[in-house]
Amino acid sequence: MAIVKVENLRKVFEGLERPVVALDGVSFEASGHTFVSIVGPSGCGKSTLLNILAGVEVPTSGTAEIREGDRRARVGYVFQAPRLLPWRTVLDNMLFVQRDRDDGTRERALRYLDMVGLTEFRAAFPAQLSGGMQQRVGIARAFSIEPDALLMDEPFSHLDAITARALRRELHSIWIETKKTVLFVTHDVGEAVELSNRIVILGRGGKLREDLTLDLPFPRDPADDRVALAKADVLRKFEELDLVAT
Amino acid sequence: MQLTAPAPANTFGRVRRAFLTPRAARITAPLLFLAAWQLIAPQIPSRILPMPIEVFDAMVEQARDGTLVENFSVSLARLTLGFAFALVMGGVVGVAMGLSRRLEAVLHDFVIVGLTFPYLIWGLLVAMWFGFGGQGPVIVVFIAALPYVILNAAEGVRDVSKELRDMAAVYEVPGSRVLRHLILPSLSPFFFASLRYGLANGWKGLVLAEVFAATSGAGWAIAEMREYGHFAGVVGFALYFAGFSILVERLVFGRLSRRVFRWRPAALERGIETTQ
Amino acid sequence: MAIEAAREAPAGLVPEGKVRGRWGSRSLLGWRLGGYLVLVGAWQLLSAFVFEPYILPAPTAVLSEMWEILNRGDFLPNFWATTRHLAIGFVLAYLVGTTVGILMGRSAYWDGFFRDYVMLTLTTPGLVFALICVMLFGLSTAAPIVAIVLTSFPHVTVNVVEGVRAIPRDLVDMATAYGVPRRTVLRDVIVPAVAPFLFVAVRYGFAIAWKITALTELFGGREGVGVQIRVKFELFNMAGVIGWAFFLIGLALITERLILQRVERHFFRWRPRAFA
Repeated sequence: MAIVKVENLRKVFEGLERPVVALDGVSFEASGHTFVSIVGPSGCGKSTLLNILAGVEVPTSGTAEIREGDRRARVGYVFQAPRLLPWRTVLDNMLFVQRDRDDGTRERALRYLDMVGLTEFRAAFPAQLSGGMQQRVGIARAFSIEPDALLMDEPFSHLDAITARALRRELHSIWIETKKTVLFVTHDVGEAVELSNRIVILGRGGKLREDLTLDLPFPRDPADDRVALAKADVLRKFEELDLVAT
Repeated sequence: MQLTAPAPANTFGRVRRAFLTPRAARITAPLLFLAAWQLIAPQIPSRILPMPIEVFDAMVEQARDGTLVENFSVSLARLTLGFAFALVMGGVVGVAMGLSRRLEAVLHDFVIVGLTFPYLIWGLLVAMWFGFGGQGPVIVVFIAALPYVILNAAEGVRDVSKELRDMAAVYEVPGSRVLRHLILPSLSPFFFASLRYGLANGWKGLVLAEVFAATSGAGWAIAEMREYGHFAGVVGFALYFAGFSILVERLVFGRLSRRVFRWRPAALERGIETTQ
Repeated sequence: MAIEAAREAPAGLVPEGKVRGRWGSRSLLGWRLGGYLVLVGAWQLLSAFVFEPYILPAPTAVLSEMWEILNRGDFLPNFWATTRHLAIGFVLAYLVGTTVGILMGRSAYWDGFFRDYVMLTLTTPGLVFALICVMLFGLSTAAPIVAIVLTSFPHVTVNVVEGVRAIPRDLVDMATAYGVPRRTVLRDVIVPAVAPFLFVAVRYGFAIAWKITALTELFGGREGVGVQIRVKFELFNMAGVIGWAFFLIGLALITERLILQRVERHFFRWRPRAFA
């Protein structure tokens, strides 16, 4: 079981005039079959948090890590842009990130590709796919390494509403099936309420303002009253914390 | 505005329209040129402007007696050798420059100078340093091609997508796989550009150097012909030069690059242009 | 992708900031100057201890030769001749190149007509043109001028064609929809769109022009920098060859930096400076 532990995390960037604090003493924990949404206004360090957890950036102080037992967890990362190698086929892109390349690997990759419904495109190049399809490959890729935890950075923000809705459903069913820990950054409160059982709110200046648990049963239909109420609650929290506007 | 003019009714109109297509233009241009040449040449003494037929005869003779094949072969061999050196050294230096800001600061100006320094002077210098052996021209190829290889290699390294590199880092992809599937394919358009502009400019430097620093080769041959007043031969050999360039451009860079880049949505070619 | 990058570090921020001045980062300036010093130093050492003075003259020998040239009265008439050839030739080349470029950019027919010749000239070595022009025009001033026009205009054309293709059709349509008079559209929409390409055309065209001038003068001319280079070369006076080469390059640099770049900067002072 993966354990996410963030303790007093601080990240400061050097700005043109003065230093910019992206994360200011953020602490939280998550583990097991949890879907954590990290929400907040733009520029409040959500992506930075993910990058540090993924090992792409180093903190200024404090710690942030994901452990699986006594070792560092293996993470899958879905980026905003699909980040596929344009000169390799879809299947080769999946194979690129696998740890070993034995016989089972190819089958496993194809299995996850099938989960997102793109088996027939395994020999296509990314440029031949639509944005939504490329993003689905990115999601399949992340799950196909059978990681201990998943990091997702606003993966649907560049897609049209209809494709995004379909992908949200797909993501949800994969999460239910694989029972992983998912950390999901978004600025869309509705999306967060629909997908997660935990919502962490980061405010301006990189401070953690709220850590909410959402107990509603899955699957959640956005049209359902309880879901709508939950969304309203969270939005009200935003206003209380003075995080709305500008 | 009419989208297409209505088809002319009579043959004359259709023929006239056929003449006005871009395709026809490509044929009309050289034909016009030939016609103009044929008309002007008789007015001017043959030792200044030979007649087209004289040039044609000279070209046939050059093809027959080996002047064409032997000299171009020698030049090609020199080009290949010099360019091979430029590719290796330029690749290393260019990659290093792409990775190190300091090295770039030191070498940048010299690369620019290398781009713009007249090949004429290089030709004269190597003639002084190496006499008439084959080394002079090979070295000039090296000097002429090097800046283009360096610039494209450096640009290629800088161009490797940070996003993709981060993705590979997050997924802990082993270094050898990153090199093979990420870095090398990312470099290939720049490799092609360095090939194209390096060879093109290497060739220009080569033939000029051969005039002063060699006793064989395409450049030497055409200069010799002028020395001996064989003007029809000069023009004929010049036409062979032109044909050679077109052939290489079409064959190597048309077919080859199209195959390598079939994953691209639109064929965009980048690289540094020629300044000589 | 741009959005991605901005999210990794908030827009406008640099994790390790360094102020970049006009010469590049201040800390790198030292490295840059260091490169020059190393070069001159190496030259001095090589000429003093490794090579014979007639093969590689010392920097000081070259300087003294240049001083002598200035004093002897050789300098002015030759320098002036070259400047004349270059000026006339380049202006003509630019005019021809722009006209052909506009034709090619706007009409598929003319594009087909000129395309092969343009491509040919871009790839054929300047040597060939220099020899042919000297052959046709002997020692007269026509030789370098025609050579410049033939070799330089295609470079101008290529850039003008790109400029014509870059005219923002949507803006022109908008202006037409608002009933803006043609002259105003030309002045405020078309010319500013094409202007950058016209300047690049100058740069590339000029880069070729001065080299071909020297080359043609070298092969057949009565006066000019190229002629002097040949004279010095035939006398095995390498310091003289290098000296005159420096004068030639100096002329090119001064024209490019002082005149052309100034004009360009003045023309484009409305452009926002890119970050760093």
